[in-house]
Amino acid sequence: MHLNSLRIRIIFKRFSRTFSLQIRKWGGLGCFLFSACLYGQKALEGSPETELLDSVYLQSPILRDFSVGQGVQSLPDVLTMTSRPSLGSLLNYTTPIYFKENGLGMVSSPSFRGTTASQTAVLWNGIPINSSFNGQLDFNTINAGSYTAIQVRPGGGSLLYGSSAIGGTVHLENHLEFKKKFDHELYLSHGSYHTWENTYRLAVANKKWSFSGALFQNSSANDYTFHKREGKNTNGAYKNYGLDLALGYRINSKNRLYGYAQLYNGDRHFPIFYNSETPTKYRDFNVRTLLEWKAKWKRFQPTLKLAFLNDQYRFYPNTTQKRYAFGTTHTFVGRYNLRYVLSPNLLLNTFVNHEYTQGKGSDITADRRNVTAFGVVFRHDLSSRWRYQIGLRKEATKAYGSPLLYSLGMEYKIAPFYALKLNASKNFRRPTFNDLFWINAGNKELKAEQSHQIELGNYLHYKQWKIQVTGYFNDINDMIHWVPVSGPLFKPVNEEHIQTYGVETLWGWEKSFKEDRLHWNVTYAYTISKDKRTGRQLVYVPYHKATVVARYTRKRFELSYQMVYNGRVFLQSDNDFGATLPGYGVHDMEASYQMGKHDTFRIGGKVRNLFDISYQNVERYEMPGINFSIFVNIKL
Amino acid sequence: MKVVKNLLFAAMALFTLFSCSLESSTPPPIIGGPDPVESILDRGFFVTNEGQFPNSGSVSFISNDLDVSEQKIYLNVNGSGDLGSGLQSMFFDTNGHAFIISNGGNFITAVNRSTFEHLGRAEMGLEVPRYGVVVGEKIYVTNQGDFTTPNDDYVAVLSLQDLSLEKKITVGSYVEHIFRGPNDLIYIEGTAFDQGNSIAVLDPSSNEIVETIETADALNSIALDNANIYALTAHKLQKFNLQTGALEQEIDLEDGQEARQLRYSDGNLYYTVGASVFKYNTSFADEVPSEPILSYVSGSEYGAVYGFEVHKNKIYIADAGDFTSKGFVEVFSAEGSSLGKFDVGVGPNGFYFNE
Repeated sequence: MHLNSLRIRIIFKRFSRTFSLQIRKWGGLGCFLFSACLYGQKALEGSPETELLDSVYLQSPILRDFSVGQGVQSLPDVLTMTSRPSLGSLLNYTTPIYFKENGLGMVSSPSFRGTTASQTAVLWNGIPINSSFNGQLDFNTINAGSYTAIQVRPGGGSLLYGSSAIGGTVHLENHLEFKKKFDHELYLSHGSYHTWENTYRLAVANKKWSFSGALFQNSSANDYTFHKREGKNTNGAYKNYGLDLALGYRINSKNRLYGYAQLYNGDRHFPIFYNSETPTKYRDFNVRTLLEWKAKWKRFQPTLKLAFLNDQYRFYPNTTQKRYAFGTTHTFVGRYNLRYVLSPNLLLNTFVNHEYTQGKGSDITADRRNVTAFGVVFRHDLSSRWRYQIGLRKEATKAYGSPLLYSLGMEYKIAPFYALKLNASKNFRRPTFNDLFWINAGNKELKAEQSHQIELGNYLHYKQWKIQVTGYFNDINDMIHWVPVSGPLFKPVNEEHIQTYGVETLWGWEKSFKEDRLHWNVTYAYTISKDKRTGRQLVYVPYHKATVVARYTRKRFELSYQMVYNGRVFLQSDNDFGATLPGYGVHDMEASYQMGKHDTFRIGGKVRNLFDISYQNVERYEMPGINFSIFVNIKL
Repeated sequence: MKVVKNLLFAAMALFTLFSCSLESSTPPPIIGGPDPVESILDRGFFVTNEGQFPNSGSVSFISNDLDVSEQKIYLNVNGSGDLGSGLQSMFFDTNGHAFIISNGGNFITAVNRSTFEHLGRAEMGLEVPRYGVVVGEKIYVTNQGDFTTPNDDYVAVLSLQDLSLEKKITVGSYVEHIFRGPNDLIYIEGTAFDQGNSIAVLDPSSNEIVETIETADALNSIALDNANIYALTAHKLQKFNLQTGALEQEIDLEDGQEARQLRYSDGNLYYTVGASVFKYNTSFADEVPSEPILSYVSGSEYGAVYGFEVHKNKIYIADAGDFTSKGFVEVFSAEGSSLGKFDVGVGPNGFYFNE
């Protein structure tokens, strides 16, 4: 057992440190609703009072009410996009988050505001779903079409969302309405490289019950031919399927009960560069369930969430053999949140959150941990122009050293069309199961990574224009880093110190004429992320990233365009200009036409990588050239 | 009905799964005869750089007089192509060829050792190849195979003519370095990552393991001279008779030292402890050394002396730094004074003298 893990560790050491780190890390419906609003930004929303009167939650109230000083970006329904259906693809084309994907459809890891892959937290209906093994979420294991709302909030979020919320948070929500309806939708797409992208969604509701579900299947032989050298993407096939369900029951006007479930089964072969290389593959199997009770008793609004999560992976070091490395974690989360409306302009929110995780795997000692967190956040709307919030959080756990966290936010509306937002917070990322319990290497003395950050945002909303410009500074120390200690043995230590700073800009514009509608959404991020000790930029963090989504609609015809540009990245920590990946822009186009009496059918075609650019997102992994797909979208 | 139809359609589509197929390998190439070209490459040494996975490793060249150094010589000469990931080691034949092993790519690239022109590639029968040696018309390459067990570790026997696989010899232990003895037998270090305690002796005339020499536990390196084979563990040095395989002498090293990388050169043994080099006589007559013959400053605790060789009274050290940036090579005199320092590729791990 020991030998096994030791040898694997070493061979990866021999292959390269980076890869060994990677291995260690490996660990809704009603989208109809917001196809109309391309990720609009809500500049200073209404007061909490008005929100309380709102009986339909289309957004998580916590995210909505306690983001003072920060921006929340709502993303469009992925089925209206030219992107691939994974969350990674959607965010890549619509947000400033940089994604690193080692071959199309393979592990997709984010760098949000220049941070590492495990410093972006992903919340599923408010429950964190980053892997307990490596602290990160593989964004290609989430089907973006399964949610009624996907929102991204850049900047610190540990106060409310816990570990990993350093670069930012991504929120996947299934919101249910208690309004009579029966909607279902089928989306089928087939394209180059035997690629299928299929989703079926159903939403059924009355005044008592509400159900929504999504069933999806994505698969591809993914055997595209290379530009620069002979051959094609070998051993790159992937397939995944899954189910997302949400059920709500309105007990009475004051109490509601919800249940959510998510199943995901994925199988990916990792590309090889030579036929002589040993083909490997990776399997994911995730089950997530959540029971939620929400009540509203005058000024008290308690919410209780009980979640049970099971993540499993298997890594096959040789696809021709049955042998595999595995890991599995069972996580139970109980969260009680109490919202108390002190007065129309004073809102208090407290919570207690308990998390129990047990994990085992071929590379870690079977172990468990208990973490209890307490938090309080207070929001005060001083006037229609001024508001602020202040919050504190502390965890009690024996598993690792956890700091006291705070968050301070302030907003000032300078003019009806212009607001300034300021936020400062302390955030953390806890050591993972791999860090703590890796056989012969785990370090139980580790403490959490800590981040101090501040941001200042300018939010303009004038006529058809929405512009945001945010500057931020983030100092992250005690970063966990695996270093070899003696001979072949590695050990994680709190060692690295990085600073990230930069500017994010979002620009949205839309215009409707008689029969025509035009939207534009553009993002641009300038990111510095440097190692404090050497002063050098982190590898795989581009200085520049830009995205464009444009859509033109005329009657039943729709034309859309999207683009992502990633600037040059360094491949070596010494920032050697001889070892960089050049920047590239990938452009996609889509055209569709709606048919049927009630616009039941939409058929269309997509062209991805329109200009047939040859590019690599991760060195050596060539990405596909121009490729095509056709789709049909049926709504009944 | 419409709904039912749609749902049937959906169900059919949703469960249609596709798979991809692997392409078969191209037949192994043929290597030509020697190419009598005078070249600067004949007057220097190569440094293998393992590279950053999954990227290709590279080979650097430095001239013996330390006046000339060049990076990525394979790419520079051949214009394209690469040497595979996890560039592990290199070996020569007596006919002007050099062979470069990629343990991630599972192949061996053959080049002209004077020009570095690509000649061919051995791609069959290798699974995590580590080190190789040429004896007669055959190439012997150690392969670690499945990492989880030593039972499948083997020596691949390849034809020097066309690089085709002729035989796999299961060794029965882990395998790592491989040497040709003065008696034309082949000696295989039966350990990997300090897991093992044996040296296997392979007779190339019968292609069979004829003897297994047991060493102290956690063997980490071996070295040969004309009469003996030396085995090093972190705290112990042993001497075995090459003919009989019998243990002749053993000695405990200084307390608190973790010795690694045993080398033999001109009547002396050398090993490293951290970023220091120690020297000891093959006679085992002296006290074990407590003072190094040289120490250098490494910015890296774990990349220090990632490659090490002693050749003609000079000591060659490769420092891999953080393994994600350029490493460096430093050459020292026998007295420990620095003669030159060179930037090389990522993860430099070995020296190969082209003369």
